[in-house]
Amino acid sequence: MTTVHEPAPGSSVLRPDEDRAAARRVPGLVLSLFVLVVTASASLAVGANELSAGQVWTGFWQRDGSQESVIVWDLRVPRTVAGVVVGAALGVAGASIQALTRNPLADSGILGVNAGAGFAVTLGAGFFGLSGITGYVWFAFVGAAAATVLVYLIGAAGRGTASPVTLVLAGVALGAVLNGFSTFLTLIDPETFRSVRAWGLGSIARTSLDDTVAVAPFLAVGLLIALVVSGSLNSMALGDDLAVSLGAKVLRTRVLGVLAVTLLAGGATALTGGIAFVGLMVPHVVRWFVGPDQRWITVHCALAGPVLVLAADTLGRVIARPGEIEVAVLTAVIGAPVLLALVRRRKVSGL
Amino acid sequence: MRTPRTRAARLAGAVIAGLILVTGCGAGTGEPAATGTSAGASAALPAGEGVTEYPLTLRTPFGDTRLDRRPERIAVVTANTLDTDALVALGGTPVFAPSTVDRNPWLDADDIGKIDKLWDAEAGTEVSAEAVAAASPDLIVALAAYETFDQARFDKLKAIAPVLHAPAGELTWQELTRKLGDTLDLTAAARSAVEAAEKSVAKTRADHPEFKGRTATHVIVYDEKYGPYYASSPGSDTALLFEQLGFVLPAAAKKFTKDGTISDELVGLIDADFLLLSTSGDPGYFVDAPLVEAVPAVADGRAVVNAQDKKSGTNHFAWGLNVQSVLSVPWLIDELADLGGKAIR
Repeated sequence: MTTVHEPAPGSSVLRPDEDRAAARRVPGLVLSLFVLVVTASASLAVGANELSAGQVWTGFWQRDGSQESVIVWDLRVPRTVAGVVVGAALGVAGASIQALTRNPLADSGILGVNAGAGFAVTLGAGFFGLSGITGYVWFAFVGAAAATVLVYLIGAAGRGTASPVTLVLAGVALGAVLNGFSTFLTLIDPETFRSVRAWGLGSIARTSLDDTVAVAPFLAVGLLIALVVSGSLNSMALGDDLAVSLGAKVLRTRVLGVLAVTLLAGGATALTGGIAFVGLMVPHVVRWFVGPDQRWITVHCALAGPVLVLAADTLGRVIARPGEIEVAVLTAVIGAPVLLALVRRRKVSGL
Repeated sequence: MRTPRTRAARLAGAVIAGLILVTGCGAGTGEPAATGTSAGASAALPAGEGVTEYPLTLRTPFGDTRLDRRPERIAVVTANTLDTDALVALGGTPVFAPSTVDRNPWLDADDIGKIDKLWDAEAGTEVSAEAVAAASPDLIVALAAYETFDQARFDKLKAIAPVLHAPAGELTWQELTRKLGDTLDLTAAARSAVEAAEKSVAKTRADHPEFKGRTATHVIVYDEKYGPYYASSPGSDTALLFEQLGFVLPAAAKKFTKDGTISDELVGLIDADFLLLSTSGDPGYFVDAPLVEAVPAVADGRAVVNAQDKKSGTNHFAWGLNVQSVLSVPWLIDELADLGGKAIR
């Protein structure tokens, strides 16, 4: 532990190790893209049903209602698309929230996204008789957004701008309250809320293409905002005062950052029920390879997130035949060893 | 924050949910203590046969209790309804029983109405010892006790009254009925109740020779997020009931012994001559899926949907499979024969 990393916001003077990281960025992007294509192909080719490569190929090119083409087009294509979209959203949301709160342990859940979505789904099931994934999507989205806005307002109360610490505290507290309410409701009337219990099991197995397409515009906007504010987040990493002196608009950056996280994590949670660990792990891994520049981290996370989600989902289809294991169970199982190996081998790149 | 549950926890959850999903709301408590003891033993229990001698030592792994005389006020403390069914079959009425008896269509509403106090039961719940004591029982019955029944619980209960205990799954419904009969000096009544139930099974089987050797599968279609569940793997209660009617299990049933979840891609494995689909919630995502429609049983109209009761939300048949007793088995076997008859003509 000899060097202490200090990010170099807007500075062109890089120290040697950051030079190396910088040199890796573009080839790394090509590599990430390649790995993503490989994982996505695997997600189309491999599943619980042991179709041969030839069958998958025919099924993909001839949509004739045969078993192969139904499996490829009705089951594997929708979950692959969902995996890419949701993985990118969670990865970028994680990177943004970690930078925004200057907290290396943050993921989107820390802003109350998951608790808000879960609470809204509980209410929807209880009072509007919702059931099924399509019924839940918009409730979850609105709940996630409302919770995040509330967290921001509570965190910013009296100060005009929410500091990272108050933001995290407000998020954790509100999350606990909402989870408490959800649990209370489901306990007093288990029959009405029985399907809610399954909702939180993060899965993309039955996320329909229609739902993904419906939510995708929100995720795209979130991604765009995250990219736009990523430069300002570099300055914010130095602390609010320094950031202001460097000319960053702290309030605007923070509001836009929270908005991006809300859209990204809210949408992804609405589609899946919440996949943990992606938003936490992917930004760390990416940061070690590309250095502390938030702009590059954001771009790389958008590619690395889907790789983790698709790999976990594909693994979940083959290790429990004739059943399957939800992707959210396996993201941590395959992600944690990677994270641990990197923690052991490399210097941790600070936020 | 929600974290993903571990696989094991998920499975345990699915099993409990399986119980809960099909169990309806178990409407509240009955009228508390309206009848009391004024009617005496004859109201709660038929006359003894004079075979069992008291005092009787009741042995459990947690210690023994002594039943000094023939009991009159019997409290059932297990949330499933096996014990209550057996007692009712013997002509008795508990003073204290789980509210889950409301889900048993094989019980008379009158029989349920005679029970002093129905405690709020849900799959897996344990009633508080205080509530048991309030019913002032002279025998506590836990013949299908959950794993949560432990030494501490036994000690609390034995302070109230002698405890008749067996862990869930240890006794067949025949053994459970006989054990209760022996304890209550109703040995002959128990024997004839068991025989009557077995006879009704044999009769239903004889009435349906067309089932013999045909394959059968039971799939419970849970909410979209859980997906379908293969409920008739070898050794399951459902498989047992199928076999009692002469059905055999398809070869694929073996694959689901460890875990009943079915991947959408492998849904073809549920095919059988008689495919029973019990639903809980909206099954549209499943029954309208192209791969399900392509399952031969579905395509050929040999799939029978057993929907849950609209009003109570309970799927009585699916619930009944989890609580096979001397009273439920005759009802279940007839219901199963009716459903099977729709597939196999």
